Amino acid sequence: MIRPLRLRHRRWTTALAVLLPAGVVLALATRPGPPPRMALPPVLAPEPPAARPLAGWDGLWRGAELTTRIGAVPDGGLRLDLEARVPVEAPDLLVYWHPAAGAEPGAAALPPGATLLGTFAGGAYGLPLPAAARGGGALILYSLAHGEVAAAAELPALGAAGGVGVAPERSAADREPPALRPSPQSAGATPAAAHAAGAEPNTAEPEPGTDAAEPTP
Amino acid sequence: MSHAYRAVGWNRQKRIYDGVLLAGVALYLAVFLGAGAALRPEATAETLLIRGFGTAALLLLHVVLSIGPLARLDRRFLPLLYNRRHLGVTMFTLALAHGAFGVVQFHSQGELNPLVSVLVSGGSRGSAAGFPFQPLGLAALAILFLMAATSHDFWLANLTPPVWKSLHMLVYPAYALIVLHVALGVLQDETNPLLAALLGLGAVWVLGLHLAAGRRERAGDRETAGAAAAAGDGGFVEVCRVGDIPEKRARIACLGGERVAVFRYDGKVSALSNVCQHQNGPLGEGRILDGCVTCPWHGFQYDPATGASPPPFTERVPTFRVRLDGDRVLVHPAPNPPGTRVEPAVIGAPAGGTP
Repeated sequence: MIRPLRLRHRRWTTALAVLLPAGVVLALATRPGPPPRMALPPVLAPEPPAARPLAGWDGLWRGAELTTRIGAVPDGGLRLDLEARVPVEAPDLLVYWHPAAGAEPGAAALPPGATLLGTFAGGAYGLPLPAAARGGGALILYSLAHGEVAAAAELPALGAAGGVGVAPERSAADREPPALRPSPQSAGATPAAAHAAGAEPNTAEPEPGTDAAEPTP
Repeated sequence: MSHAYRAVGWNRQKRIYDGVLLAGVALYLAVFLGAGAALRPEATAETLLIRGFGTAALLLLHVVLSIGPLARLDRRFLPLLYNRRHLGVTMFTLALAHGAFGVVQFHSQGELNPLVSVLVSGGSRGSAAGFPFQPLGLAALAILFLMAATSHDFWLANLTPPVWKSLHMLVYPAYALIVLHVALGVLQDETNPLLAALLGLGAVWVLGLHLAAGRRERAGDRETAGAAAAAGDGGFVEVCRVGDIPEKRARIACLGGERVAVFRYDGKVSALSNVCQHQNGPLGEGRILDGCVTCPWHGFQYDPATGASPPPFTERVPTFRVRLDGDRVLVHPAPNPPGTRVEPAVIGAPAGGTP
């Protein structure tokens, strides 16, 4: 290399040795932390109505580790809460319910007629469940970005008193043994059926003093 | 254009070089994609490909940038210099694949032209963290394209080595753009400190090598001590003693602002420009093979007495008059026109040194 080029080369590399580390340090030092949880104004995100716990499970889902809770709201509807015990690493998740058909994680398509309940972002709270869900059905976590089922669960039927029953069209022995946790204080619940399915007691309990006389579909 | 295009002349060394290169790239991509799919099952194939090509290009760029200073600091790295341009073109190809997958993945589904989308989408130019990193990558890719497109000897000959070298020194701004592209891009979300450490270590390695090699080169650019007292010897400058020059090798002196290679061979001493006409390689760091000064970079050869390449080649470098005064080697700093024959000084001959 001729001398002027050597000189230019030395100047450039010296300048880079000063400026480049400074740029990298600045870029790394100012990178944003986790986004803060911004609460939406109440008008946009009304607080879901308080619900009386009916049932809850820890081991219901295939493909994700979610805690599932169902509660009864004063107007007679059902509320579904999902909480991820381990983060679900799939983008754009939506929660669906289907009256009968289940789905396997990895399936590309939703079963026809699945009802969209809402979005899932680390959890889902206060999703309105159709009244028909008292008879059980299937819950599905669908990744819109990946176009596939990320996780799925068979929702047991809820008993007449709001506890856990046996899903219609299936016997307890046919079902996979979920970590079913029936409410021990639920009048009219069917703990025997739950235990037959390998269930464990639930942490979700009805509010003290209520008889939980929920109508059965 | 005054120089005709000639296809790359393949030889065994180039085939081995390129074979190792392509095998290494294929192995890297296979390991990256395999490990990525196993360790990050949630990552899509597109994401793995974008990152695989991107990291392969970045790694190869570090290799490309390390070869020059390593060869300056240690001759054992000279063989890597031989086919460095193929490394550069491969690196550009990987970077292009990275960019193409990125554009398809993130910019091809909207209403904007994808390239316009790359330039205008995301980030905020008012903050370091939110600075749009993709235009930085695009700018670097444009520079790498220019370098890859002009890497052939056709362009080297037509642009002339100084212009060609100036053009290819744009690799340093491109490197800076790429490092910032990574720091302002993927490292904003991937907060594993190992990744930031690897990027920092790479920059320290590359820049440290260049600074070390530059420091050594600066010492070689100091005017030879005898230059100031040149008038007393009829303009000739003492550059060294005969014994300082190993047989069939050279001693490099800086005369009149440029380097001169003084070769000793077969009982004779000749001086010619240190700058090879092919790619401005350092002739004085080569040796004499088959009676010709041989450039250590690509093997271009010159007759030490005339500075001309043996036929059929046509390259010529300037020669310098040489005189011996006892054991002292004296060189006149005024270069002769390229290819001018200068009788070598004969070691052990009567005063004057020429037969």
